[in-house]
Amino acid sequence: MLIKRGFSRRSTFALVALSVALSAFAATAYGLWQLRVARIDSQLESAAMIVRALEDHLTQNFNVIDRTLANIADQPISNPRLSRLLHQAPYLRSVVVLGPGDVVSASSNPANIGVRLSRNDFLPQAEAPLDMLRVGRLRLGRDFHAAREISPGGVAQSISFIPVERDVQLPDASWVTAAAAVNSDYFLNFYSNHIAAAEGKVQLLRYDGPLLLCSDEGDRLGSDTASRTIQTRLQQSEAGRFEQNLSDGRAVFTAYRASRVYPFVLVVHLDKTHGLAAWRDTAVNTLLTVSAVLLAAFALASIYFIRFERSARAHELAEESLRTLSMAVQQSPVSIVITDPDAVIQYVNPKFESITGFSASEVIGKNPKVLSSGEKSSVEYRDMWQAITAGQIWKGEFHNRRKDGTLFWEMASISPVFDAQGTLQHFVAVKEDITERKLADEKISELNRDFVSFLENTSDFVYFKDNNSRFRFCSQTLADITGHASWRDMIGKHDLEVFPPDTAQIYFQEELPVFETGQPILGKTDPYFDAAGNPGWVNTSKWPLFDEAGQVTGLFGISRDVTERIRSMESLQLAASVFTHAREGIMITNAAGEIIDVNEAFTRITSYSKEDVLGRNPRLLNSGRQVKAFYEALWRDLIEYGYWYGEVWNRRKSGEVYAVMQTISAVRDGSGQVRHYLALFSDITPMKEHERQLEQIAHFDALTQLPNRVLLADRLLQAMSQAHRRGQRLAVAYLDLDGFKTINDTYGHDAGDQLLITLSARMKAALREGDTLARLGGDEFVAVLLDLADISASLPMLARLLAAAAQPVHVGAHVLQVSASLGVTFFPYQAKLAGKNRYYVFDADQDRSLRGYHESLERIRLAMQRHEFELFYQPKVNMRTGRVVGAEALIRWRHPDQGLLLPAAFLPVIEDHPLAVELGEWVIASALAQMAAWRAAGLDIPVSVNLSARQLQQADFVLRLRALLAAQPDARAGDLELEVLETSALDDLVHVSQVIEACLEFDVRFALDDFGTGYSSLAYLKRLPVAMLKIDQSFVRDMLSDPDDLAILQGIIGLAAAFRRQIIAEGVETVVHGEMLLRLGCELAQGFGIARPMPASDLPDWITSWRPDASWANKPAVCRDDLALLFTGVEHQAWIVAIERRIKGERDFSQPIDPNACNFGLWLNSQSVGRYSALPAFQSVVTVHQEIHRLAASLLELHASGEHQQALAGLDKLHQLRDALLEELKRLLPNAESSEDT
Amino acid sequence: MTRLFQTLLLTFLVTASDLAQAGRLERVLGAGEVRVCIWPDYYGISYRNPKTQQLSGIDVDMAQLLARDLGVKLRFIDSSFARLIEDVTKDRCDIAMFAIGITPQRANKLRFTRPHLVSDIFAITSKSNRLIKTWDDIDQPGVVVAVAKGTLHEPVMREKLKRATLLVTTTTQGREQEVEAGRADVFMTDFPFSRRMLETTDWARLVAPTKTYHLTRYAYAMQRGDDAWHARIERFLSDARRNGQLLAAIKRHKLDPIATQD
Repeated sequence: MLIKRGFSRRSTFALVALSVALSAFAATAYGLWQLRVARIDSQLESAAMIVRALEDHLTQNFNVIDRTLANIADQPISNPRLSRLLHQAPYLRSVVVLGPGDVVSASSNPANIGVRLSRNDFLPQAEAPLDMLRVGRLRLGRDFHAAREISPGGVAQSISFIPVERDVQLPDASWVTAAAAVNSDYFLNFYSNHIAAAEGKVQLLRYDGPLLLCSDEGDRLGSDTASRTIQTRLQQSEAGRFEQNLSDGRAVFTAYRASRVYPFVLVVHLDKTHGLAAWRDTAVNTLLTVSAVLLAAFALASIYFIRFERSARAHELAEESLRTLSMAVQQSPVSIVITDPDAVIQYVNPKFESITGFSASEVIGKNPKVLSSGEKSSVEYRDMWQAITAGQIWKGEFHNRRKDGTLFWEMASISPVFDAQGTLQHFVAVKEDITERKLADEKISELNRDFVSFLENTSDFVYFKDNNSRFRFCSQTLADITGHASWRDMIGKHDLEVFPPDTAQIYFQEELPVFETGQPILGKTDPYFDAAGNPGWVNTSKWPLFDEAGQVTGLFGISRDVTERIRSMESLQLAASVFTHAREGIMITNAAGEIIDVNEAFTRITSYSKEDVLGRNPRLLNSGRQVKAFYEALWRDLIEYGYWYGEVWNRRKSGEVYAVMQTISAVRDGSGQVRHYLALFSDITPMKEHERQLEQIAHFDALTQLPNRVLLADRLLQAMSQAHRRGQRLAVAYLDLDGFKTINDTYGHDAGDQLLITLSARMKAALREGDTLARLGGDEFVAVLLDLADISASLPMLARLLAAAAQPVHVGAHVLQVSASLGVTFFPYQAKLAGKNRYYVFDADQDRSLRGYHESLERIRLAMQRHEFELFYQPKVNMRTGRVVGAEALIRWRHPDQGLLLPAAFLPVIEDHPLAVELGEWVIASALAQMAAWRAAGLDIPVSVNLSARQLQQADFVLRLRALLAAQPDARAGDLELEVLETSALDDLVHVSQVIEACLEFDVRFALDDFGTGYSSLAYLKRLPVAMLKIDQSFVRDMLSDPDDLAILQGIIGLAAAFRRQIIAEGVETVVHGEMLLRLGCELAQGFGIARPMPASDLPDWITSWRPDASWANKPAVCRDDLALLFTGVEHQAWIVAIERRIKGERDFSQPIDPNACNFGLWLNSQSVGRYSALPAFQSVVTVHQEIHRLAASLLELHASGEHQQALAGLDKLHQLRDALLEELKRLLPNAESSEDT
Repeated sequence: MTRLFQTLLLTFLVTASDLAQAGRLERVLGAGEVRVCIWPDYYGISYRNPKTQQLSGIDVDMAQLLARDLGVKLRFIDSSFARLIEDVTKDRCDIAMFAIGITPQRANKLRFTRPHLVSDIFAITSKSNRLIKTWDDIDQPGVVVAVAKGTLHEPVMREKLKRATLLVTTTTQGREQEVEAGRADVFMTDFPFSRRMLETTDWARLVAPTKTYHLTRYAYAMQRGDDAWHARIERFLSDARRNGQLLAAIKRHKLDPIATQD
């Protein structure tokens, strides 16, 4: 019904709109037609006006032409005169005068003379002379002489002219004919300027029809087809206007007019399309305007109509929906209450009645408070009122009371209803009874609270996950170890997000089968990391969760920390394994001391099996070597400290005695009661034996088994203190065997050794128990006699000693006999030598034989007191890096009389004197003081100090060194290096290596000085823990010319590298030395080529200013393959030296002179040069080498033939060539060129 | 008679050399007047309006500036291209200022300033001329090309035209008249004159070369051999270039399309 009403409204509207539009268009069309008629009239009028104006111009111009020709009669006729007529006459091309036979006789253009003009061609025609202008046919061409006829059909437009002529009566009454070529372009220009091509065109016709000119270029000249209509009209009227369609189809307004005087007709065609263009524009504009106005009106009407129709529809729809709504409210399953703005109930629906028990009539007109149970606070009501009076929708719950008094819960939504002006009209409350839901919710909440409490308090890891292994919830412990504040933060997360990658993979992977098969995993042990990141173990079970259809929807799991259990299990296993496999014997007893367990090592060491000892007391192991007090002390420690540690001698089952290092511990339980004793022991019998042997070696002479120098010193010290204590005397007898060397030489060392063994035993026997006989070495012995009341008490014993030494000895078939010399001194006196087979008692003060020696000693001692010694320092550098790595301290004596003395001048004097030790210590102390001073000044220079053999052999050297270091706390021990001569180190390898090791403990390092001179074997070098080898300068100095020295040097450098010892070259005197050392791989160096020793004060400045030679930087060590090249260069130099010596007559020359036979030549011809042969320098090497040999051969010849001076003079050239060859050789080395350049 | 002639000639030469020695600049300053040759038909350059007899054009402006610069009075002397060399060498004026095209013939006789304009050659034909549509129609058999005697176009066209007929008129008006009357198809002129034709007649039509045909640079001319005078004029011109007076004059007379690019 709604649709039908709408349709009839629309059709009425359409009919009205259509009729209005039709009327408007009809009126407009009539008006426009009237306008068009008027416009056509005005166009025809306009064409007529133009043609009148053009005709006037034409006639005037021809009047002028007529007058010009007529004036010829006034002047004598000549060509220049005719030319003058053309001035300011652009309408004329030329003027001519005709002579007899109508032939041109004079002309402004002489070319025209002789041309004939036919009188008949001109209009009007006249046989007799006629006093007026006549017009000829149009001619093509510029002038009479070039004129061409035009065919009747006409021609395309080109240069043309209109001939005219007139007869002129001369003053003598004779007639002459003048003619002119009229410039048709002149008129054409004029017409073109008046009518543009688009507007139309102008035609000039001769009166009899032919076209003379046309502003439209397309029209053909001379043709009369275009003028036929005009010809017809001319018969009616000389001028006229009309509409026509031209032959080319163009519609035009035409006006024509014949000249008043001359036989011309002018025609103007105005283009109709162009002429009506303005009208057309007007028409179109008008129509558009009318259409636009109509359209606008229609649009407005439509809008208005649509609005009207829409409101009508809305009204109809509103009625409809109101009816529907009313029905919905009535039947609503929720209760609906409508009140007025004062909350007075105006309507309730049937559901309200059924829920509350109140009928509508009972509540209408009342406040909804009738339902209130009173449980809702007044604050809540106030908030509700504020919300709804402010225009908001309020939602909330009410706890209300039914009519029968029972309570119920309602969910309510109360909306304010406003009218169009915004005035509050009603409140609508929609309410639902939620009592049942409320009760159910409370039960679930209670369950949730319990469950949450469980999750937050259980110590196990409990978790529920969905089927994507994402946490739904979990216990707080799990959150704790994964770094989450609350377990709620874990919800939705995946194992891979919360656990470390390794364990996460395990947890996640193990769950997959649960999801797939629905089978739980039970009691699996997994690793995990606790909150602190410590690894641990959990025992995990996971069960699937199913939905109603039996599909797995997730899982829950419990993981319990079992780290402690697993740890203790592991440590038990470990303990058992240690127990079983320990190298040490282990024995466990109970508190009563009965053995309860032993391990395999126990059985191996004691040879008692486990079965033998179980239940027994460990006493069965006793050897009986320990006294009772030993065991008492053991038990005392055990009880007091809980452990005992010491060596015990035990007895094996076989009865054999052995030593063990044993630890016994008491194992207590929690209450401190001893539960077990645990004994660990290792067999140290071999160690003991070894110790004894070492002691023997260290303190006894291997040959005679007498105490050696070391033990002697020890015994002597003891004896001296004892003698001092007891106030007794002590005799020290020094004894050597006279003639022993002869026996050695005569009978051999074995015999000598045998003699020594026998005599030692006899001499020892000659002494008392407690006295000491020691062998110092060779045939030297020392006897220490104790407990002497006075000097004389020693004499019998000394006599016995001499006698024992002098007794013959049978060695094989020989009877050998020697005598002994003996010197003796008494403590506190000193001893000195005596003669053969006798003793001599003396004291040092009486000695005069070495007075000079003593004086010199005194002078040195004095020099020390006067501080005349000082230290110079020679820098040690890294040649490649340019770094100063240290300095060597060198002693100098600033002698008041002799000036600065080098050590060679005074050290030998004190070499074997204690003063050497004193001076040596002064050197160390001074060096340390200097180091401390430099350090204070910010300079950190390691310093090396030379150590004399004597100083090194001091028994307390290490102690004294420590004291010196302690006295200089600002110097670093690590910066001190002690240089020991290789020879002195080898003298007493054992002692020296001990000292070195002891010093290493407090960071003082050693260097072997003059290395290479002592013939160290590899084995020795291995045993000497020195940090640095100092290559003796003799090798360095000669390496450039002595292949042997170079080979030794290379060997030393290789040796150092093999033993990982640093190496430094001494005696670097030139840049070339340095280069060669770098080539060989030795980077550290000292020597005059770098710096001379200098006073300490000069060193800092030197360090600042020193730069290594440029050729050293980047000089790489050559590879093994290039070594031959280095050697061959040195060999060549040696060869040159040999030549030189021969020439100088110093020595014969025995080297090959053939360039292929010398060492260099052999190398050149060998396979090994293949690697260089492609290099550009190689060919020059070969060439220069051959040249050297040629020169050498000739020099030798000169020398041989006695021309010594000449031969000597050739040496310079030889040296030049040698240097050139060496330069070329360098260029064969890798990087040689770049290193030269840089 | 011969003797007398020789004497006269000698006198003239001496006078001329005296003048030269005295120097034109001193002479002009001494006389307090500079004489400037112009061609009064040269529209935009030095044009005398027949209705008012007033001179206008760039070189009239420049001549006035020159006189002001020299601090002397200005006198214009009517000349033409046909009379140019004679007027200058015979000392009828101190300088010729009417956009004189530098041609080899003129350069042999006269001394030029640094050029300030440069023009190609243009043709003027009649609007109704049916033969000449484009530049290429000009050098065709039967076509008549007019040039004025003594203009730079005369030697150029004499050399360039191969097929067309050359018509040399004694006056510049002559060539216009020949074309308007249809006795010639085109006449050759330069940029300024072609503009005059287009602006002042209703029959003229311009035919421009499709590509550069023959560029001629325009400058002022004076006698040879007076360096001081020439230097003075050049200084005036370079000042006018620098301070913008020259460019202003060029623009004032709408000649900027042919101004030299400096």
